[in-house]
Order: sequence, then structure tokens, then C-alpha cells
Amino acid sequence: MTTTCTECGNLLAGYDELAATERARVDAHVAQCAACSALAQALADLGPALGAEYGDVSAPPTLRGRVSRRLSPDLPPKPSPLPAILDMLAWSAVACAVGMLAWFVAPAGFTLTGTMLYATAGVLTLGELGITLWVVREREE
Amino acid sequence: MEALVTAVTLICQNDSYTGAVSMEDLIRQHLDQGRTREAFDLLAAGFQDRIYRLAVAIVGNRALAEDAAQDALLRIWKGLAGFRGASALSTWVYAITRNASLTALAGWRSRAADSMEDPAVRAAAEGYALPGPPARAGFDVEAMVGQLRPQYQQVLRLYYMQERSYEEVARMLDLPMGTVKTLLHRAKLELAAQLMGSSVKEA
Repeated sequence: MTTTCTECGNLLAGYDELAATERARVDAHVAQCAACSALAQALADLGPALGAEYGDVSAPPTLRGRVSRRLSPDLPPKPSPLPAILDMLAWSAVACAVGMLAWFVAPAGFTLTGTMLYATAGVLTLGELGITLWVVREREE
Repeated sequence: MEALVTAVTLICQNDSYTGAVSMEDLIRQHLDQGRTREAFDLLAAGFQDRIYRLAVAIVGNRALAEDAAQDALLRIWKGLAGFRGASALSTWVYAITRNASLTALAGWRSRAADSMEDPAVRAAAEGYALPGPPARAGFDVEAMVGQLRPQYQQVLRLYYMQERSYEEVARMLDLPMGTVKTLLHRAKLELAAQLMGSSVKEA
């Protein structure tokens, strides 16, 4: 490449910002120089390709959520599954104690029927199922 | 609050905004009153696109850029309560983002270099390095840009991501505007040379 071609190349790289006189000088050189003409064509092809590649880049919608989840000091503390289970066990113990107390203070002749027994077992099973589902969901998160 | 965030987002997306209430003023008001979370929400809403673009410009990979942007925002969160404005807020945000991006890039290169012996890891790393969108003009733009020296890559990507504003690119990369123009022109010439299948000797 001659100096003129090097100079022309530098001007071609910023062609859009050239003053009219410089642009005319570059155009005149490109019209009679095959190498600079090819360079001008390559630069012309690049502009739209670069615009298409980078012109519409914005933060992915997942970014804010990812960051928010990490801002732990400002979020309410996430309950651990263990205290919840202990909590449930404690309430079960309270329920048992109340049941035993009721048994002791029950009027003479009171008997525990099968229906009452099944109902109690059903409530406990549903409670257990709820806890299990909750623990699994917490772990997945 | 949501309406305020939206308004500030609009203000911040328009860099030529010179109204009486700037995002920085609003953030400082929140910080002065100890409302760090509100200050952070405004900052994140206003800057997240530019933080992400700066990260993309530096690391050249969108998945890694999201990691870097997340890291940058978390670093901003940690430092925000202590921010007292020795520099402009944007200068501070961009400096943190550049550091987070370079850290992410160095970490990724280190991991890739350590484990390149393993074919499975190599395949995964190469997959990770693939650019986001496919080539749209008959040639793979990102692959070509990736061949350039890092500074050329950064300026070139950021220039097109930031609506061809030399000023904004200069601010985000902390470079003089003249340097940005020179780097951009050289980057374009090298790309054009790649496209023509030959090399152009620098002036």
C-alpha cells in the first residue's frame, strides 16, 4: 500500500464523519484504486453487520431477579425447614398433652371411638404431607 | 415507588437528559436518609443495561457478561451505603463494572486453561464461548471481532451497543475520546482486512 492508500484507509474508517472536501478526496482516490475500493466495500459491509450484532443489546430480564435474590440483608430471613419441623413436633406434643388431659378429666363412661381415632390419624397425616411438600419446595428454591 | 423507578429508568436511558432532578440526586437523597435499598433499586434500574453492555464489551460473551453484571451489581450494593460521591456515580459504577468484568474474564480463562486437557471440559468451554446471536450478514461478526486485540474489541462492541456515541464509550471505558476514535478506526480497518482475507499494515 502506498502512503496515499494508508491515508485513504484511515479516512475510510471514519468516512461518515468526514468533511465534504475530505470525502471528495477519498472518493476520488477510491474511484481509481482497486485496493481502496475493496476496503471501502468491506467497511460498508461491516457497518450493518456490526449494527445488527450489537445494536440491540440490553440486560437480560433474569439479571435483576438474580441480583435481588442475593441481597439477603434486606430480605426477610428465609425460614429454615428444621425449625418448622421442630415447631410442628412441639405443637404435636402440646396436642398430645391436651388429649391426655382430656382423657383424664373426661366424665366417667367416655370411650375413644374408632371414628375419633381415624379422624386424628387423618389430620396428622395431612399435616405431615404438608410439611414434606413444603420442605421439598424450599430445597428446590 | 414503581412509577418512580420507571421514570428514573426513562431519565437514565436518555443520556442527554439535563433536567433539574437527576438520578444521582435521587439516589443521594435516598442514601442521605439511609434508604440504601431504594437507592440501589433506582441505580440498578437506570444502569443495568449499560452495566451489562460494558460487561459484554469486555468479556465478549453474553452468558459470562450476565455473571459479570451480577457481580458488578452486588459489588455496587455492598459499596453503595459508603458511597459519598468523590467521583460521579456513573464513573464509580463503570469502574466497578470494568473490574468485575475483568475478574470474570480472568477466572474463566484460568478455569479454561486448567482444564483444557479434559475433552469434555474443552467442549463445554468452547460452547460457553460461543457468541449469542448467529451471524446475520453472511459472516460471523463476533468470531471476527474476537480475533482483535482486547481494546479494539471493547471499543468496537461498546460503540455499536451505545448508539455510536464516542462520548459514552469514552466515559464507560475511562478513555480519552480521541483514543476511542483511533481505536475504533483501527479496529474497523483490521476487521475489513479480515473480511478481505488479507492484513492491513497499521499506519
